[in-house]
Amino acid sequence: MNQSITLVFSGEAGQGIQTIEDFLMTVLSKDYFVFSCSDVMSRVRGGNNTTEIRISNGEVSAYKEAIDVLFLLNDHSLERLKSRIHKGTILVGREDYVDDAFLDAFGGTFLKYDFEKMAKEAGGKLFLNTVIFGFTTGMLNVDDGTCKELIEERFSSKGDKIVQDNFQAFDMGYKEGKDYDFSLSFSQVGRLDETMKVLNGTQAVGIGFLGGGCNAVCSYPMSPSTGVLIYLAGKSKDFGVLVEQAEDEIAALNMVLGIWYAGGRGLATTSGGGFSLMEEAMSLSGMTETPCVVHLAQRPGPATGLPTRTEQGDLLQAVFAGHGDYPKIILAPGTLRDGVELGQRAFYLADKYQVPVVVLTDQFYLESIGLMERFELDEKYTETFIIETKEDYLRYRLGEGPISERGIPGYGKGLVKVDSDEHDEEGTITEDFGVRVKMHEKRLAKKEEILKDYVLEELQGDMDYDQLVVGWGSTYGVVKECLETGNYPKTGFLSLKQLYPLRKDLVEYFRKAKNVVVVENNSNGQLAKLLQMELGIKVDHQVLQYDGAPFAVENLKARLEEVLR
Amino acid sequence: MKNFEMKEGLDLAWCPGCGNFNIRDSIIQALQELELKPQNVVFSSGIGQAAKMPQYIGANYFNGLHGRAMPVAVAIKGANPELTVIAEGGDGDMYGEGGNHFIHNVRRNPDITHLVHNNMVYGLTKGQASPTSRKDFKTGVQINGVVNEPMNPLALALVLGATFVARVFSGDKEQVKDVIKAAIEHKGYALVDIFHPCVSFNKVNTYRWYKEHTYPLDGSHDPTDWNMAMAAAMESDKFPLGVLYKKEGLATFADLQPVYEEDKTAIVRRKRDLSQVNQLIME
Ligand SMILES: Cc1ncc(C[n+]2csc(CCOP(=O)(O)OP(=O)(O)O)c2C)c(N)n1
Ligand code: SF4
Repeated sequence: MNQSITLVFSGEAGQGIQTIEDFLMTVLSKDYFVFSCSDVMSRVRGGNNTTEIRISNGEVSAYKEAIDVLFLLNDHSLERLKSRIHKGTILVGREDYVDDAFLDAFGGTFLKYDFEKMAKEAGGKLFLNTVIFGFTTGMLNVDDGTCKELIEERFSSKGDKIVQDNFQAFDMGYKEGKDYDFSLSFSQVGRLDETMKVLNGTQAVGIGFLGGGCNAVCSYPMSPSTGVLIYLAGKSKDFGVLVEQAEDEIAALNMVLGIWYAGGRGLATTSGGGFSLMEEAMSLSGMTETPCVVHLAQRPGPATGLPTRTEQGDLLQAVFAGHGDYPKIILAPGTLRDGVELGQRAFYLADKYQVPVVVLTDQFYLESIGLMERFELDEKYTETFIIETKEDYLRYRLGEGPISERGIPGYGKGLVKVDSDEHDEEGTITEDFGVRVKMHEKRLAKKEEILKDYVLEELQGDMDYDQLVVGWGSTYGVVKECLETGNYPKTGFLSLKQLYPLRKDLVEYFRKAKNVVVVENNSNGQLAKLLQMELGIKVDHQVLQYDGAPFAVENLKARLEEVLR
Repeated sequence: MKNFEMKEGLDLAWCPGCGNFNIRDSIIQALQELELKPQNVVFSSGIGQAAKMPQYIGANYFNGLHGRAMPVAVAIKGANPELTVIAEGGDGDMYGEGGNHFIHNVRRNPDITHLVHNNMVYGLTKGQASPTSRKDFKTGVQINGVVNEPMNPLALALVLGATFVARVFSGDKEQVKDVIKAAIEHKGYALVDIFHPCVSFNKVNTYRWYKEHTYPLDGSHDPTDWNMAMAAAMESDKFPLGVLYKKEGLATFADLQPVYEEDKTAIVRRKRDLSQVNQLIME
């Protein structure tokens, strides 16, 4: 049975908690399965941010509420976290960060350390994160040489003095941590770094997009999608990616269409609010049959909602995006590997079917860090579908099925004419009703073709189930952990990766089930609605959460207990 | 049939007598004289009577959405700098709905030609005010006449750092052609605001009105002098026609992209090396 321990670091924005997270994840992942996620306020300084790191001897990729070790980095961080600690929690922090009345009631362990003072002794406030990194690794008995190698690697560009000062800060923390003998109740897994890579969802989809041949990204910043823009900008020279920060999302997706029309592979990365503005161009993609890929990183709405929190509230917006009927594809990664694979597949599908493809993620998925087994991307999905045009080229030739050959300007003898109005085979505006019907049916017929390339769902748990839990996207890890560690007989877990269009055969999974439960991080059960609308599937129970936080393992377990036998 | 001309018997959706016909002739003439290959010329247009232009010229086109021709054009040029890219549309399309894109794409200095048919009215939607409509111009919507100040696209472009700014009148086909040629040959963003009468919905700004309210710039105008250009752009008693401003040698949108810093190959012709991506997973 998997065991885990949960560390939480809580302090203000700007105190370097992210560095602690980065360092710890890197060193701990060599010997343990690790997962981290953070709760960040929508402000640049101050406030109260927390980062949770789970260490385990088995795969882990979910948020847990109960804290085993809580590091307090300021006097008000405890306040928000009181409900998450228990008798067994170890509090670590400055004496005056916790008041006596609370301590009496708490009754657990409080380790009083003044990390700020240690940091100052080491050379200044800036070293706070290194001191804490030292303390934590000392406490967990991690090899200090490995930690120092990491410090050297990260700071060497800043000069030897900085490295030496950080070593000193690290040692101060490490020594104190070591004194407090905290031994994990489970043993190391060992040498995980040889087969696994530490990354977050942003990097996963970013790598996937590069694997899909993405050579342009045009976007307007919006949390939590901006990370992908930054990631690709960082890779722009090495991988040949044109990067443009558009004046708004309307421009962004229109630019992306221009990129594809010219023969490139463009991406727009945005969040719900920005996607609303892109809907016009989604529709244009549908009408002109110009491919495009949009990464839609969800956060709670409506409107600006909770900018830095998580939700799965934009599925139906994506399904219904844009006016008029036209086919589109919606993919939603659940695991990090999904992110890489579906990121790549998005470009392949867009190109092959000449439709818009939306990759749907969310804040929790993008910003959580975990382990992914290393693997190589599939060459198959690097195929491109552009043809060299002949003199008599017609962009929308009828009679060849729903997919007409796609030429690009300047490649071949033909001319490439595309139009947002209804058009004839050549791409000229038409008001001929007969042509309208033919063209419309040609576009709509793509749906059946797309289904032949369906990105398969994943079924796990009891294959001989009579209860079925269904999920999509970032709830993958938490549902999996709940089912693995809870006691629910004859229960299967179906996670969908392609949400639109849905393949008809999915109904088979539901026929077998006497009790269907859909878990979603939104308030109106959007997947459940979609299953009903597209496949006539009836859902027995919905487990929904929409407070801006991801499902916690304990919480979801309790709620599943209410609806599963 | 010459290059860029299309088959006979084309059903042009413009009203008889409209200035758009002349503009079409001038564009085709310009493209022919520049000896461009139709396969390498791309029009990006929006929606409106003017924006239908690419439908009637033998070249590639992306006829997209109202106001959105600029971002599409700039992206096409960015993806494949070897193409000749022309963004075309009406004053409502480019300055109204597309106002934000106009502003920010001038700043990008993309190497594209921007043709705006300025008839001071919305044609396709049958006669509402456009951003360039003169004050007091009465329409079914502006029943007491336009109260807003008309937009000055040339002055705005100059302020934003446009590297080529011109105004022509469709009544003078030769001039329109020459200026469009110069705009296409200009390396960088080139705005050509084209006055033309809308015979159906603008009974004020007629052929005669344009004739009476314009004059050609002569040799005394120095188009490399920004202040002089700005002064000319601000004139509205009589609007000057010709190239108001021209600045050569500035880096364009694509020139400044890190992706083209070392490798000038158009991104559409580069192939992604999957092993390089796999390296990101293995490292
Ligand atoms: C998003 C959107 N809003 C409104 C319209 C309706 N519409 C079509 S053309 C047009 C104005 C065209 O005026 P202008 O650009 O001056 O071109 P003209 O027809 O005068 O040549 C409008 C508002 C549209 N097609 N799309
Ligand atoms: S509506 Fe006006 S601008 Fe449009 S074609 Fe007719 S005359 Fe020309």
